[in-house]
Amino acid sequence: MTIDESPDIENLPKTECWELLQGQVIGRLAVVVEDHPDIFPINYVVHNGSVIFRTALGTKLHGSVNNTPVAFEIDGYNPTTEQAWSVVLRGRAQELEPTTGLAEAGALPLQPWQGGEKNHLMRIDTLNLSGRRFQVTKPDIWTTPLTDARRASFE
Amino acid sequence: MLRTVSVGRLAVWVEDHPDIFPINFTTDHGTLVFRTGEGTKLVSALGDTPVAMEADGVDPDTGTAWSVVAKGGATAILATDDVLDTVGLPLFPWEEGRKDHFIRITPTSITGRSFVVTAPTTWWGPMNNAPHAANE
Repeated sequence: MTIDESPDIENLPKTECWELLQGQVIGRLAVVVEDHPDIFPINYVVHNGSVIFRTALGTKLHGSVNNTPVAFEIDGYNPTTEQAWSVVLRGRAQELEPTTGLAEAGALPLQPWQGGEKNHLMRIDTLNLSGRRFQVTKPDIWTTPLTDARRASFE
Repeated sequence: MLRTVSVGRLAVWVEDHPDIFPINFTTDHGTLVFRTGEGTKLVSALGDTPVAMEADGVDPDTGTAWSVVAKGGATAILATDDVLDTVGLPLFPWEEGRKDHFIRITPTSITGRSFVVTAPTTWWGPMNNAPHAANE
């Protein structure tokens, strides 16, 4: 099956995807927990070409992401240009061992929004990165005669 | 909370890995409805594996962040009556292009949480400001 690509969708080059990733602090992580997908909003930071986030031992997130495939997404909207964009990064999550850069990562500007102990740093090894940007349409183009209020008065 | 926003993220299982897509959605009688065209999102959402949908936000007045995750099976809305009902929903995708399929997620579980956003300093380790400590 082919995806019906609209000509107005711009696929973003990888460098721009990374720039967008570096410009945000919160994203959503999709993982599979007990045979079904789940989503967690996470605070993250980009370091040496990978996404790093914190989690606490024993949480659902920690238990489900270590060494498993994950998908990570960020998106945004530019009100000036009325363009929306999103970046999706797929990869495998690995826990950072203390000997493999935990101290270095500890110095990263990675500041979770929620308090509480989150001492485990996870890194997503990137397998696939894609981004797209498109012009946000006016709601009008999705209206149908059925939703037209003017019609209602005749019925 | 789900009714207050129109953009969420849909997580689906694609072959051997999870994938995630931003979607415009609306609520309808305790279910979530979104529109999509042909493609990965449609095929994998309607697969055997249930899906998860997440929405979140921050209230700048209170500094409170919230997120809601709904999980459940996704089905295509096929019956004519249902499609006609659905067309009347205030569902306006941001991206134009053909999106002929209406998909309904019937949640089997909805969980939400909210918390006050902590100050960034909570996460500063002792090393972060060590060089400044003596002089300041």
